[in-house]
Amino acid sequence: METNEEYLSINTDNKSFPRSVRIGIGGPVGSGKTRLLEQLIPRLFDKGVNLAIITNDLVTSEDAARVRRSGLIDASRVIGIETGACPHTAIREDPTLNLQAAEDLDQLYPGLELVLIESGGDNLASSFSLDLVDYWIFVIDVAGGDDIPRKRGPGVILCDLLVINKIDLVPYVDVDLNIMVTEANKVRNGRPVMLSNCATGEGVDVIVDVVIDQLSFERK
Amino acid sequence: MPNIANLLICLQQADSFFPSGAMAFSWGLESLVKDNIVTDIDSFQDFLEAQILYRWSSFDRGIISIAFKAGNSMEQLASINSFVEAMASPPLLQEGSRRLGRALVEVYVKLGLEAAKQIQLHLARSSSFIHLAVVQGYLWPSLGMDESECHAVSAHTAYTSIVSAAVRLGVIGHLDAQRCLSRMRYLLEKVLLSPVPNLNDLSCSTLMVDIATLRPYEQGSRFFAN
Repeated sequence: METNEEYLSINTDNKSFPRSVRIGIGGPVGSGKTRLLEQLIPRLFDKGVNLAIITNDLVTSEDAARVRRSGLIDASRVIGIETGACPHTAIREDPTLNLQAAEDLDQLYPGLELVLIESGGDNLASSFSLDLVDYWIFVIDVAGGDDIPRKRGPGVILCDLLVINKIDLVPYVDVDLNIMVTEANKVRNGRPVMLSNCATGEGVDVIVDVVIDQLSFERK
Repeated sequence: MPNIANLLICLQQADSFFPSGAMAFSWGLESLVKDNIVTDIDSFQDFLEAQILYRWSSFDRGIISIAFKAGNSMEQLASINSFVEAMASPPLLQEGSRRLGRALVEVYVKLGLEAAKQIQLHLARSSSFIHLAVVQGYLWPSLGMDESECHAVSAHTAYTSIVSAAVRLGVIGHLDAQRCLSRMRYLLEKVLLSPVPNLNDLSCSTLMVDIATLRPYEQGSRFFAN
């Protein structure tokens, strides 16, 4: 049998720039991923970032349609990916269609700097394939309960940036935000944890700074 | 004594863990489920057998063999690819075949397979696309798979992805899924031992599915790409 020796080698060329930097946004259903996206888009445009969006909703086009309707970004720069009711598979075990979409966007928009990839709402175990994204954000919210970080879900532990959203709801949902933040920092070994209220944009500017830093880092 | 090396190669390509993008496609099943035409294991088994016996066996299998025999001839591959396109399946099914063909090429390119790089270069130069069965018949031999192994792995990936979609759509449970797979394995064994159809005898027609996928998406949100 003929073997393809090159195929048998370990190929680590998954970041062959120039291509856009890819940042994933994951998190449970209703935690505010799309809302964060809607807050990030105008701020990143203001900073001159050339960007596009990929959404992975449970159903084919719900989140993509929402982002397109928002008028925040040219509708053609928003692609909705079909996940076959497997949103976690589409960003981790088999991100093939997401990669296709990102490569299509790179071809369609020369000079594209950033693709934000929003996962479908999933659970605390969801995480992104490192062959799909360069950096990923995981969004949880206070209404999910202050024990969420303590549960040590892979999403909470492994992400590059953990965002605790909907902090305005703290008085109404009987949670202790201090405990939530302390335990998040503890399980994440000091990696960044940020607070936001994506309904108003509170806390989003700092997240934008992180995204810009990441863009600069990946481009070096 | 079986060729263990080849067996392991086949298992890797046939595994649903292999990143092929197939989980996003139901090949018309989602529409028929929404229409209450496919509702249980019996109606699903009919759907599955129609797809595998009257689409994969009567068409894709022959295409794989022609692509297999084409070797490195880009001209012949382009010709068989045009033939697949000319068979004019409903747009959503054609699109699925094109997207998964491209996906397979790109995955193998990223894994460093030289034959995949060649076909990708050819596709870029000609601004064209390639169908799944053509890619399977062209690329898998470069891993050392023989023609019958290419058929078996292609058939397996086709019916497991449909059965998996049926589980996710709530039509069947996980044990019935295995019963469906066992029955398909039994039926396909006979198919795979029979002569491969010639080019002029190839056909693909599953009318109910074809019509279901032709209808506009008036049924609301969908999970699958087709």
